[in-house]
Amino acid sequence: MHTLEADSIQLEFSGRKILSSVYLKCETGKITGLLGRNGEGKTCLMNIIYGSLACEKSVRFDNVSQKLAFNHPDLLLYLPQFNFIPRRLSLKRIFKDFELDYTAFEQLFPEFASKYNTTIGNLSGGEFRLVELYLIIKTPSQFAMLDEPFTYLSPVQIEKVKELLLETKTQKGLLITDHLYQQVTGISDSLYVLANGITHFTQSMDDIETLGYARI
Amino acid sequence: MQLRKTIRLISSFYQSFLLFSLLITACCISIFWKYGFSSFITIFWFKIASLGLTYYFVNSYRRKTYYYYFNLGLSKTLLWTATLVFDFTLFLLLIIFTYKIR
Repeated sequence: MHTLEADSIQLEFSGRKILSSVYLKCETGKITGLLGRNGEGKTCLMNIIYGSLACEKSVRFDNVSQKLAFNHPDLLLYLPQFNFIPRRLSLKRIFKDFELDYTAFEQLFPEFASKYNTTIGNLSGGEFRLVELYLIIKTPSQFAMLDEPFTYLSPVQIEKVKELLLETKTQKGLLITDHLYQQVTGISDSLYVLANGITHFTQSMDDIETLGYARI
Repeated sequence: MQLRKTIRLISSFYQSFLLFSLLITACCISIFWKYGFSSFITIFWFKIASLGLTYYFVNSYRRKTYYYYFNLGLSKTLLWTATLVFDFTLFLLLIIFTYKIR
């Protein structure tokens, strides 16, 4: 079992404190949800953990400090909230790069059956997102962070992705943030709400309302 | 196998600005062909400036694709070092070749 912990994070932009008292822990076998209103710093926090946003921090994998996790895909993979795959690459090429079996993907999502040679830029927004999500979930690593994984996906696709996440968590710790909070809370084993620069570990759904994120 | 994959990924990154870079190199070669060795200093700095511009452009408008390479284990330093060294070596070799046949 592996652990990922982040704390002692201090982030401010133009004198405005974004993150000041953060503690977050992910473990193999668990899906950790992160909720928060727009501008609370969820994406910044993920970028800080990933190492692509520099600031004062302590990020530890199995108690070993790692400042630039993005140089270690065996430790951490990251699905940013934007499309990150170069648009001119074909699905054939992408699956070859990630050393993943396209047939297994095709079986799970039959709508991709005839698209093996299609360039990813020619797919719809939902299909594009689904490919990115699948790569990050299926590529071996200790942890994966998913920023808005359900955006652009249809309800059927969301259900399949959730099944995939539940299946994957036995080998990989997952950190997820998305405004479709019911989807996040539905699969999360532990849940944090980020409010006023502080992470609050929630014990019940009522906490989400108390912290001002959603009306349950 | 891993080396082959790394080379494939670096060449994929290089392709994102290959056309622009080749166009600049072609311009430099044609200037060198026309004006000879006296133009070398000018085209040398012109090529350097174009590479600086390429770096700025990719960092400003194509930075999202870095995450593709990060997730595959390639750092920004490796991507840029390999592509810039290759591109500039190609430029120098073509200049030498032009000088020889001119």
